[in-house]
Amino acid sequence: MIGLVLVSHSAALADGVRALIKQMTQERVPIAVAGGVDDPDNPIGTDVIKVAEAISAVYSPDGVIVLMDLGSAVLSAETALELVDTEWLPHIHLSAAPFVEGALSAAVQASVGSPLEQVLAAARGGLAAKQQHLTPSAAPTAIPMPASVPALHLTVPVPNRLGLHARPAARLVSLVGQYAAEVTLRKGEREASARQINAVALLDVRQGDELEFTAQGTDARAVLDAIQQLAKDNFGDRDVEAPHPVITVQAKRPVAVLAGVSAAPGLAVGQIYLLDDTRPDLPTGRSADPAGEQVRLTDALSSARVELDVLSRRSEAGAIFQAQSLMLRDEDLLRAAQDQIKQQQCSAEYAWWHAIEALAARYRDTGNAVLRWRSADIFDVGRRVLRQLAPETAAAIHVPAGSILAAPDLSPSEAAQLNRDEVRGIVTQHGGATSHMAIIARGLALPAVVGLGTAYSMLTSGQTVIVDGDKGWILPHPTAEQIAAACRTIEQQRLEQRRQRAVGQQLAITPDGRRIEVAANIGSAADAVSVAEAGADGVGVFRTELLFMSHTLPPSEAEQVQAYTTAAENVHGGSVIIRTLDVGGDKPIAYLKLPREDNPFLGYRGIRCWLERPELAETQLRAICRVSAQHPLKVMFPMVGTLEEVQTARELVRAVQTQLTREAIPFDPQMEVGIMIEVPSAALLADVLADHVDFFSLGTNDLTQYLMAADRGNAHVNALVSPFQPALLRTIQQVVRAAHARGKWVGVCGEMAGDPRLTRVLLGLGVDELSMNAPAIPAVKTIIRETDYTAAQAVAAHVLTLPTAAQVEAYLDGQSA
Amino acid sequence: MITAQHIRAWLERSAQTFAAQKGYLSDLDSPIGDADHGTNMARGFAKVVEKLPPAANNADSSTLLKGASMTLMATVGGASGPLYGTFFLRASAAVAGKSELDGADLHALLTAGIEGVVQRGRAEPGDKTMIDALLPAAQALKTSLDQGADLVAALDACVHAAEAGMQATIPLQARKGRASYLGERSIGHQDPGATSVYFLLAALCDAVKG
Ligand SMILES: Nc1ncnc2c1ncn2[C@@H]1O[C@H](COP(=O)(O)OP(=O)(O)O)[C@@H](O)[C@H]1O
Ligand SMILES: [Mg+2]
Repeated sequence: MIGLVLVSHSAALADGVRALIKQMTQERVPIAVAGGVDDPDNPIGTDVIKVAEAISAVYSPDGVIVLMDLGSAVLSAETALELVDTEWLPHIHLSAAPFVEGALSAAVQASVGSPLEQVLAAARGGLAAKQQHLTPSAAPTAIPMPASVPALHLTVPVPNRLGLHARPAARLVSLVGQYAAEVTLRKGEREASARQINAVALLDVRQGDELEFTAQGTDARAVLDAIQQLAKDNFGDRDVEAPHPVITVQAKRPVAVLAGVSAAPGLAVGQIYLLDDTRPDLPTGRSADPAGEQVRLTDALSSARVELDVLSRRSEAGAIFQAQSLMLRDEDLLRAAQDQIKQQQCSAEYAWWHAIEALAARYRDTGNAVLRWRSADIFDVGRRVLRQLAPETAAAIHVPAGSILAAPDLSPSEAAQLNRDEVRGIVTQHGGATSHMAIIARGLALPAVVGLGTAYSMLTSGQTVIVDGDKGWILPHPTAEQIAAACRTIEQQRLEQRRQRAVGQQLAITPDGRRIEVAANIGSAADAVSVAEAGADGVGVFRTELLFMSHTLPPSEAEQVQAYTTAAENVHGGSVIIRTLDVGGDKPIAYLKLPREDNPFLGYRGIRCWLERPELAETQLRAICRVSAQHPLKVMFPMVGTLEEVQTARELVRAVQTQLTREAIPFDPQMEVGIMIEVPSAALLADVLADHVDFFSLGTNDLTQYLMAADRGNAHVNALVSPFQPALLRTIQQVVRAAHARGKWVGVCGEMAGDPRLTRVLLGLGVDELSMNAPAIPAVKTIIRETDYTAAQAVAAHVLTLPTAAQVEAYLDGQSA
Repeated sequence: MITAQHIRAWLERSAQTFAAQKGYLSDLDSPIGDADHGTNMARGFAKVVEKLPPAANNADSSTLLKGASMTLMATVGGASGPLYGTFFLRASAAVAGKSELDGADLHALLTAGIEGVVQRGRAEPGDKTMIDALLPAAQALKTSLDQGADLVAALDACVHAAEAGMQATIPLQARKGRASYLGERSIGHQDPGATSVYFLLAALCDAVKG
């Protein structure tokens, strides 16, 4: 959609024009304003930075049109172009059109989806209606029409009291915009194209005028029928309204806050982009095998139901998923899709989405807020089934730059694909702070608020909001001042981050000389860039799941070589620990066709599953070994519980290396091989396992859950899953001792590694490496640089004497205060 | 040689000057504009100083100028915001990577800045704008340097020329900016923008002298 930017000396003027436009276009056109300066005593003026931000807020490659009042507004807009991405410049147009009329005309023309040229022309012609009204002699433009195709005609009297004034004219133009036919309308001697809002308005059609419509094209009949219907409907006007004033000053909406749950910190300002009703790219193609398509659909539905049933048992939002599962049992819905497959011989995806859209529309059209909210659920369910049918269709998300992405829920793979240049923040209807999506959002440094619940239905696309990821709320209708204040805070935070980064670049060495490797956890090769910026010495865990999840087939050796090489290059010589695929559990990968499990958490996951798929394992190891020739790579296996598993994995590494030697492909024979310690049995066997590996990495998130036998997604028991648990701290101590006694090193890669309250304890326990989400690095490095190792050892020794998590937490809070 | 310390001092002195001359500049803007040039400049430079990175950061000249540019763009409000903003932006680029500036560097800084103002405002000499002070100032700087003057002497000449340029705007008719709406009635008044140029260059000269 084409976006508009209104630049004015006066915030009130810009907001007023925006209000006028919204009234006419029902918020379909993204509009951003840059009015006034932030000085309460002298608020009149223009602010280049605001203009640049406004452009960013509505930018899309479809184009941005900037309208300015006068003088410095023009200079400011021109200057703002120096501050935006140069690739955007061809799509940003500064219009010389009159500010008010030009903006209105452009908005109406843009709202019907017209191409940029037409919208610009509409803006330029914005004064024509007024000029003609005041100087009626100005000649109307006649539209030449090729005479070869037979035309259809329709004559209607204009019933509504105010004639074709702006809003009915806009309705007519948008209606015609949905058809291909060329449509003109004639009033007396004068003719105009029904696609051009200015032209229609220029005809100055009054109540009682006879209008003659002429349509040419394949759907000429249809468009004329639709016009007739619109005319019958009084052109959409309710004449009971008082003759409306030219400018209605809209009352300020109450400042309400929509409360959710904080999932990733930070402040963001942007425009809502609703994911729920965006239509995925679907294979429309006919299918030669409708019966096969019907079976695919039935299979996909039952897989989706199983997923939902699992979710409804595990998550806080259980009831929602239960309801969604019920929707999938709706006979009518299934029948509608199956019938369409049969009758139109189309693909299962196509028929399914069609049925979903129809059902959602029925909900939405009720105009009842609660039911509208249901429509979001229906799209959510629809997508889930689509993902089963064609994992790639539901995956890629592209949104206009400067958006706040709003979705009922985001899967981890969807969240991981978000582009930080496009998305400024995330809000979701469901989900909790510990969901995978939240972890990924934190990794991307994207402010996120989840679990908005019913408040979610109050969001509309294009609406500017402020997301406060720290407080866990969003401000749905911020005032210009609030937006300006938020932007200032964001800017300050950016500066603060830059300062922190400087800290991050230093090595983490205690004053008494102990060096700790401070590394980052990443989920994709691209993450490594921001990680290096944050000051990571290397990568402590490269989780390869996303690499495997974003494909319909397992990534090839070459693709993996590419990904690991890129990650290594991005951290400039720091070491990178690649964790082999940790499948199973709650991270399903379609092509692996893993069996459904009642309890995936205690099931077929990690190394248990990986070792039994030699093609998968060998390919991944070959890629890792090959990259080890050039870069300091290490490999690590997840979910190890027994010595046999370690031995089998090591043999596989050896076999792959032998194979590479035979093929004369270089690799590093000294590459370190390590294991995650997350299964309690591995922790207890640490002394045994240490003889067979080069390092351990404590995956404290899962380790804590397994130690405490508690699921952190379960609200009844998740308080038990605390990094302050004495049992966990003792386990860490034992693992470190066992490893150090055998000359092996130990890292921690759970969330506690990035929790500054725990840095001293982990340091004191003798941990050699801490791997965390990048944003935590500067704070953790600062603490290490300020804490003597001997002092940290004293803290750890004391903490180990404390018998409860509450006491540990209280003690450490006291220490850091 | 001009160091980052001098640039920092320049910005700080400018803020002091504009705070002191706020009323005078707005008075100049009152008969031929909207009486806000002093407020605009004082507000802008106060913010510039507020946002200066801490001295401990050792920001270089280019970084300081760039920071000033961004702040002026956001806070000045009038036409002089994008104009001075562009001036400092180009100036910052012209001295990127330099830890010390000699006379030639300073001239390059000024010329780049002026080119930015001309490109942005499309004013020509004699249009009664800040250009009428800027151009002769840069010219005088170059001439003195070419004649072998040291940096401080060349800067003195530069400020002198700016002052003369500023006074020479009095008989001109404005052809750019708000004052141009007044047509002939703009004749007889000194241009506020050219005046702020003079203050700005004087602050630079003082900062370098220390
Ligand atoms: N197009 C231009 N090119 C160069 N200088 C300009 C231009 N327009 C205005 N100026 C300068 O800006 C000064 C006015 O600045 P200021 O009062 O801050 O802005 P505004 O005119 O928007 O109120 C003028 O005195 C003139 O020197
Ligand atoms: Mg002024």
